[in-house]
Amino acid sequence: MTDANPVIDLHAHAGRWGSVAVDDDPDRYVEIMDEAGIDQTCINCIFHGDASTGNDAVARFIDRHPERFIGVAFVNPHYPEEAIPELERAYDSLGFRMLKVYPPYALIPLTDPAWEPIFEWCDARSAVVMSHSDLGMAGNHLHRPRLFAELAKRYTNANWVLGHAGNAEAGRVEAVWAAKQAPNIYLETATSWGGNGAIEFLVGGAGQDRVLFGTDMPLMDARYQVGRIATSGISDEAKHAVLGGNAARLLGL
Amino acid sequence: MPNPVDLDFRSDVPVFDANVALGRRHDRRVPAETPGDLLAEMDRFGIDRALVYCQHAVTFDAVEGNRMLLEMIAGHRERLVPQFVFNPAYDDLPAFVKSTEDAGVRSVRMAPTQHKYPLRSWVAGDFIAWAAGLERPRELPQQPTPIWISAFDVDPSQLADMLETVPALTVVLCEPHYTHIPWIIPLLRSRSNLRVEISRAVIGDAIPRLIEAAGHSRVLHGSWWPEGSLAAQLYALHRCGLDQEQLMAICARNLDHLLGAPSPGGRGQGARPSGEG
Repeated sequence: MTDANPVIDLHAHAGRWGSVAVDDDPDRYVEIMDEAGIDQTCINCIFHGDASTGNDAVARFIDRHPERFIGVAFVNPHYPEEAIPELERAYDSLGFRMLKVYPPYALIPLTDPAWEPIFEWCDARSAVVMSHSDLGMAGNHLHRPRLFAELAKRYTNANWVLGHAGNAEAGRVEAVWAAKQAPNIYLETATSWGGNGAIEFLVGGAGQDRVLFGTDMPLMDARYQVGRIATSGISDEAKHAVLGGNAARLLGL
Repeated sequence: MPNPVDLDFRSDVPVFDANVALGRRHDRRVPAETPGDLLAEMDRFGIDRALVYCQHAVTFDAVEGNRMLLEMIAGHRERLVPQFVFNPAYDDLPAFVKSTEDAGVRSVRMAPTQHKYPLRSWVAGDFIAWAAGLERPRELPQQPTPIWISAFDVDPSQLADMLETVPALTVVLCEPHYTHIPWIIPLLRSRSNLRVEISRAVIGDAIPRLIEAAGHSRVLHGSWWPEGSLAAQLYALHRCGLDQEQLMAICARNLDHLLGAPSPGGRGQGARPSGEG
């Protein structure tokens, strides 16, 4: 938008996604970002068993448009012997700025010991960790919002982002509850489940400094997700904070 | 360079929202429910008219819900256009047809899954024939009546069969989620009597892809209000690089055309049917 009011998408994916008939051409990504008004997109690739394959796909996005994409690392908790070296490669060699984990794909609950070495590494680095969050659909035990409160209290140097902020209504209520339990919890806005009034609810409950704009591109269209923020009933100051100010501060941009 | 985000968005063109529900649900509190709630938001974003049905008509009983809808929108008919719900497995068709004529209703919503019937001719054949404009007595209007069905509420194979068997039938498939896109795109390509409403079509590049599959004259703007934001998808429509002709058609004119005659009042009267189809 402007240097003073950047628009930063915290939640987007690289990778062809044939199961829902959508693709990930980086040039088309940038065209959509321009139409939506997005300056920079944080991009991850969480769908490969071999995490380095996904992280390399992210690196190719960044190579093509280094001014527009910010790398987000992924590691697979089923291969703990690879996780820390891959995190170090992603952060220290590839220059990635945060970690995304995806319990619905790993099928390991966020509070399972399998994640501990990964989260300890993030805590030591004061890293930003985003995970899918949901309640009321499948997999409550894997990623429901209240699990993040437990993690945020255990790993206080890390910052925790609830992808989708719990997603539907019941999840949003628990997400706001979680944000009130620990100051290092943030709520990301992307959803395809309606969410009329959700932005107002999240900002009103967690505070405008704790809500982060995300799209889930290419699963969801960036123009629609920007529209949810732009046409919401929160103040202009809060819209700027949610759309990018908070992410810029959190990621040290 | 990114376009600026418009924090004070209003539509550039007349808008006739094709998917709005009024009233309460039994299973949870809805974000908004009354014509007053709706009209206030419509005014904020420059939305002229909305095609409205009653939540209760889908979730519990169509006959009661249709009656409640007319009570709710009395006094607001200039901007809120009624859509009835019909349950062919239980409701009386002649009585329903008369109620649509009495109320000036020009479109009907079906809910096969929620009303627990298959979309097959042995359940819905008489109603489908009426909706398609077939077998109507000469003294009745011959204009076909388009049917709205949620993508969440129908078996796609049954829908495809019905569209093929009754080519005069027009169906508007609404609320297409990303989980439905793999079958909706081929269905749009193969059945020219299918239209699509875009409220939940939020997968990446959904709007350009649906236009590419069906042509812009078969795409209708809707919001899925009050579950969905009234203006988020309208905002996206204004950011998809559409020309003014495409935008005007999707935002209002295609729906006006489907309903067969201009509804009274509103800015939308400036954008009447072109005859495209």
